[in-house]
Amino acid sequence: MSIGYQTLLALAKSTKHQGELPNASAHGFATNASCGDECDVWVRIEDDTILDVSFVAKGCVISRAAAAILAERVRDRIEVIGTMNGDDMRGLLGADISLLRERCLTTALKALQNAVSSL
Amino acid sequence: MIDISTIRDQFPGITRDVVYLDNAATTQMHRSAIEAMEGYWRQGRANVGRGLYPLAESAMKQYESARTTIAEVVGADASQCVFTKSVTEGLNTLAFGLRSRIGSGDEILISPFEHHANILPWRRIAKERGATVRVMPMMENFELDFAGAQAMINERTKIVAVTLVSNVLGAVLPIAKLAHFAHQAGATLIVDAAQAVAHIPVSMRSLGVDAIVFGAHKMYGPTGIGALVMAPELIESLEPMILGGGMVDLVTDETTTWREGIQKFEGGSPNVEAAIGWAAAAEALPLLTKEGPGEVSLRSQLVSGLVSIPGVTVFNPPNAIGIVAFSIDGLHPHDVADFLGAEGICVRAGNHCAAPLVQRLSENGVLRASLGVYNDEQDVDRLLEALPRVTAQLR
Repeated sequence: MSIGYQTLLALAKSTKHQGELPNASAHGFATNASCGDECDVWVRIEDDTILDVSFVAKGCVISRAAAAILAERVRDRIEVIGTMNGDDMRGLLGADISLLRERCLTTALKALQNAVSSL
Repeated sequence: MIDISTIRDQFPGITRDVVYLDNAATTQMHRSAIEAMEGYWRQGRANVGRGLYPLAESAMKQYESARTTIAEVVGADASQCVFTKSVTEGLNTLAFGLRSRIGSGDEILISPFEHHANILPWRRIAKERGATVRVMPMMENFELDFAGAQAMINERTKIVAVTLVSNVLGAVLPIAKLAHFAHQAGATLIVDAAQAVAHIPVSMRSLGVDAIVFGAHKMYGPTGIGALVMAPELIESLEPMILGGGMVDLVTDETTTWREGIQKFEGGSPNVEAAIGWAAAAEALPLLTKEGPGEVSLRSQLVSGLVSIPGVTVFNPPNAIGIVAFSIDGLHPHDVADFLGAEGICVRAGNHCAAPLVQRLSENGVLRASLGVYNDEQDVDRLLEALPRVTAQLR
């Protein structure tokens, strides 16, 4: 990993963007059945652009850190969300997460993609 | 005192750089398996049951000899042994073949310890036929509630499908007793022996089972091959799942007839080299088991070491072999396994393809250390030494 585990752990423990978002435009949920990670994501969208994201994540450090960075950083147009993948999450985290943890890395992203596609 | 290096040296994949404790997932290959497969490739390979030249005859002889060896692992005859690509394929073949015996209102009974491979095929068949899959109860000490299981067997029970050894807990199930009551009710008893055959003696006859499945890669052989060993009545009556070359007797524009015996279950070109490699590993295994440091004492060392680490919960059934499941308070098992892996210690984390069981143990899965013939006290010590260090890093 190019950033240390402690940085990921700090992200995972962060309370920022946690909880249901007031006035959310959409909600999405995803789970990683292999290890029980779960993530709820709420998103506020105007003019097809993401203005705010919040989440409730349960699971390993990587899945929770990924949810936190997604909520903090993603402010793209919604059509971009559908094209994002694990490598984009690695870029956001600045961490070279192993392919073995791909599903942990992308659970929150899938929840966000589910939210956007529900609109 | 046994010199473990004489055993470890027989496994090219085993070095002191790595502590390999994920043998319930797959084992490292024995050198005899590697050499047998390489020998088959180097001498010139051929498909089996097709060509009429000497090379094909040689391949056929080796393949059928392997069948005899693998059938003997469970005390059966070669005429009962179907090679499959995996244990999963074996169980799906049974579910497919037995579906015509299941009707509306019937019941399929499974244990609470099953791998998904011994749950999902039965669920599908039950749904198709209007039947129900029922799960036997488990006691608080993670043992099968035998009295509860026995009470569930009745005239509606058509299949009892159980694992011999839990892939999560290492618990050994009382198969012979279950077989007695299943047969009294007229049910077919199927056993998943994937986690058993490399660890304890398994006799199809002593257990009294109708069909048993197991695979090569959990007994120091190659991946990609398993065995489905059946009682003659099942071989005779079950319809094959995989249709194609090699399993047909007669095909005309209008009619098809299957070959007789086990041949009808082996549609498509078989994995000849894997069968040959598996047989070589199976022949080496009894001596390795006899001369090794002993799974019972290693498991005991592992369990007592784990319970002495603060925050560790061990799921330890009373009658278990070399698989130990545990969790650590406040830590996700994937994070722990990731950190152990970085230290060269290979354990598995998660649901272990047995989600219904694991969800009863822990919310986010469990860690699992599983022993093989090449593991020794040093391996167990390295895991026990690393865990407090890793735990501290993760908090």
